[in-house]
Amino acid sequence: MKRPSIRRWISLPLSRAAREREVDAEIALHIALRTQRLVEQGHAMNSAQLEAERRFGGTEARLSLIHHAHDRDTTMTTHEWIENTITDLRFTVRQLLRAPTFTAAAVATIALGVGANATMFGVIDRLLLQPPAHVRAPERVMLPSVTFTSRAQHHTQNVLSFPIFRDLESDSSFLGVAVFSEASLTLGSGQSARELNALRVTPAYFAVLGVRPSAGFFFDPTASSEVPAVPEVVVSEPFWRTTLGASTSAIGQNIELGGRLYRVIGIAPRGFTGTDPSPIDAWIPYAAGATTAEIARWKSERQWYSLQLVARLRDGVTPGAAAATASRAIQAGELRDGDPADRVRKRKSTVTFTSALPRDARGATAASRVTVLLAAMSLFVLLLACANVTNLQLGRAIRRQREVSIRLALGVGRGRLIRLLLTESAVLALLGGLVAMGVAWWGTALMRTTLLAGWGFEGSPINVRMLGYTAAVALGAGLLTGLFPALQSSRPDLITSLRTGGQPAGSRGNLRSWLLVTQSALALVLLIGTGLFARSVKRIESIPLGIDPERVVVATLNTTGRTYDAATLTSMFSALARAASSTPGIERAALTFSLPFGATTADAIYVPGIDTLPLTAEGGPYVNAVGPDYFVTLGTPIIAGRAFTADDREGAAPVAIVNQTAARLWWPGESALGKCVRFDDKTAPCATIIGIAANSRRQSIIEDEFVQVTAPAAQASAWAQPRILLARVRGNPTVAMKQVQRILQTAAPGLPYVSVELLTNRIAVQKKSWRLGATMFGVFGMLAIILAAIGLYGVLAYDVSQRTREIGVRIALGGLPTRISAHIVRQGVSVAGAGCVLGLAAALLFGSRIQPLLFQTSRLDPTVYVCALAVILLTSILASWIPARRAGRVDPAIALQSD
Amino acid sequence: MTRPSLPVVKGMLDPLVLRALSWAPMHGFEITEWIETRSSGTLDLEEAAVYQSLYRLEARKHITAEWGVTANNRRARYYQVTREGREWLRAETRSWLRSAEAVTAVLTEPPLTKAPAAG
Repeated sequence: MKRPSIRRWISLPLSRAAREREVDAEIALHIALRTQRLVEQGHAMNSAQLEAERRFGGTEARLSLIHHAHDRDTTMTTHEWIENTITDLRFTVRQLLRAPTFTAAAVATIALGVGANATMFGVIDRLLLQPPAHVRAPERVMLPSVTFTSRAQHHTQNVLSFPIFRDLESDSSFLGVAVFSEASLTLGSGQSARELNALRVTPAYFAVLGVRPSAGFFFDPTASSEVPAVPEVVVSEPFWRTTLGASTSAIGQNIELGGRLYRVIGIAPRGFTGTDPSPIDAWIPYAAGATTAEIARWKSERQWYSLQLVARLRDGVTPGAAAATASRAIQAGELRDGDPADRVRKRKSTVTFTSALPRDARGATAASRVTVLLAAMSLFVLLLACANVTNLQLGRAIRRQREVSIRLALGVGRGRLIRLLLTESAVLALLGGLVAMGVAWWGTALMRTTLLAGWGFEGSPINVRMLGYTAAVALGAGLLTGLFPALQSSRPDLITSLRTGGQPAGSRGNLRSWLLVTQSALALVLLIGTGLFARSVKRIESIPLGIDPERVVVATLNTTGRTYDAATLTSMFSALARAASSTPGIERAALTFSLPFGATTADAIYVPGIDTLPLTAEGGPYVNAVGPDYFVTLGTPIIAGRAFTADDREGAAPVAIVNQTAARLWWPGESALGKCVRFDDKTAPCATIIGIAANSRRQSIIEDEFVQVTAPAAQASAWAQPRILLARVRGNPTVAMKQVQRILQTAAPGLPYVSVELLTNRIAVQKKSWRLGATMFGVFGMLAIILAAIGLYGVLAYDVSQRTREIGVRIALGGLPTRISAHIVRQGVSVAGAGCVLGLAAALLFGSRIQPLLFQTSRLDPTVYVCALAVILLTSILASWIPARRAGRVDPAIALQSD
Repeated sequence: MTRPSLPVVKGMLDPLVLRALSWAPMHGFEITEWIETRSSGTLDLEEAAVYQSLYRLEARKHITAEWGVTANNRRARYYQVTREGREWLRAETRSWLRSAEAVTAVLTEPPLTKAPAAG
């Protein structure tokens, strides 16, 4: 009988059917052989068969055997699995401890790659993926904006008016519509007062968002619209915790906000910030603190744009259909409110909707586009890191080739070997993932204070989603970096490697070169991106803003929730201006209605002789009213003519200053000085243009030029009275700002809280995404080039050490050490060069995606490309230099003795 | 001529199967026949029980199995004793011998003769 060689039988889990077949086969053989014996003993064939079957025990025995076989397989597989895993882990840890440099390098590389990635995931998740907290079905919640088109104006805005709110409220496309408006509210009074972020809302606000209070109640939409003597307030969970002492009796308590008492009626759930991510401390009734006259005014004036709207779509209504009905509702409202029919037709107010989902609401902003780009970069860096770890692993696999060959020769199964190598990768990935958590923690904390400053962040920088993501990415990286080396090294050319003592096989050498080429390519792409961003930032920094914002302090009165008539406010601002002009720390001060990087107001302007005023894409014309020293305080040069003086007072001849764009567009080829403009009305008196001011900004650093007309505050319309004080301070602006606040606060008795702010802050916020983009690109680019350099160095150094003998022979045969060194450097540079070709192709192919994020920089900017190429090639020379020198110094006598 | 055969003592089938396999790797029927032959037909094997025993031993890693081919070219599952199996068999044999000895001794002890009265 032929005996099969029985190796250690590694059981794989059998399917049920397969197991039954096996048992049946065993039974069949047994019965057949028994029958044969019985026949040999003289039984008739038929009866023998029956007897054999009877002896075995029939179906019952069969079922019992199948059951036993099942027990056997399950105990064996789990047993074996656990046993093997423990052995593998022990073995792996021992192996890794034995190679501390390799382990540290691999873990650090994975940690950097995965950590950068997890950080960016956290930001993207928060910025674009996570819907606003506690808002039910945010995709049905719409934030409307209205585009007004007319002869004199063309403008899209999301700051709307109360009559527009009523138009939408009457439209059956919506389940509900609410008004909200951000406001800063002072808590308490006197020295201990501080400012809160508040939202003024109409009662339906919470219902429209579908949010429920965590305690108490929200505003009652069915209650009368009259605001009671003690208005109600809903507070945020953090406010309740920190300021109200987390007490259950907080509800019903009165707190002083903006100089008046409010009764706390409810607490919003933790993390609720409405449709916007910036944190809110308190929600107050929209009309709280307003006079009856004020209420009457904003309820009736269509163009009193001061609030934002939020609406919930009725089920089954698409945003497009709702936008159409809403546009009609607004046009009908305009007719009803007495606008002439032809004007309504020509104005054509149209509504567009943005859903409250973050990717709709914020997807198009520069910050989110930069973030998405950075996330893509972090993926690149991860790929680079993976390539490096793969290379490290391959190097290790080659070094171990002899060990692996011996194991294979000893009969260790290939599957077992792959498993062992993969366990090693998994352990490395796990360790890397743990360190990556630290990197991500730090990275997220950094992002929160930079890119996402001002967002309502709570709790630890790392949440469950990020944890899951990190674990998945780390394991993926482990598999990716481990699988290929494992597959390769488990299939070594047995005899060759045993004979030569583990020289690198050709195919593996190729794979390593390919990894290096890919690394260089990725690094080049990242460097090009860094260069393009850095250039954009430089261009942005050098944009003339038309103002000199350094040392300019902006002071306003926080009047939210208080009631002052216009005359009181005007006298308070006069007091502020007087106090400012007598303060030694203040160089210049001026009152103004609006200022660059703040809110601007468009109004109708009539110029005799021009039917349709030429405007730019920015809309307008924009109107401002300022005190005499406005231009010099802000640092805006007067290009021609003169600035306003104290003589341009009420009753004097009306004057105006236009900006360069208005001068050029309205009076092309001639001087604007001495020309006439009329504010508000065709029949208004002629204001003579006495000066042309340099163009400045309206809201952003990057915007089209726009037309602006400025009047002296003393001559301006009643609605354009100055409510901002600008002060140019001496010395350190941050220190001066605090002094200015103290002085202004006591400028007159009973002043509301004076808020001060540096003008540069408003501008810095806008540069932030660019600066951060350039910085992060720089960081990732550096990481990339370092990783690529390490990869190249590692492979070349390893190569040289493996080829010591060959090099020794060459030198012994008269090869020049310099030529040998040059050969190694050439090898390194040619790998980098191939990578550059690949990287260039990739950059040219995908570069168009980055173009919209650049500022006045072509994505094909030759300087950037040349610099990036130079950096890569120089780095490759540097990385190959040390191994090359080592090769040149090989002593043939020693090298040849090594065997 | 033929004496009625006896059932295998409970728990003793596993050592018997292992003993069979300690001679050479075998398949189930070979094991059955081997035990029958060696016990000269004294032991009445429940045939399916042999296989149950095999699966049990396999789960305990006392034996391993592999599919092979018989001399007549039939597929059969061959079993082989592992090192653990051998050790266990040795221990099991020793304890069986001791208990059998003790039982035999007790059963075959001649009855005590009455001690002469003192006197």
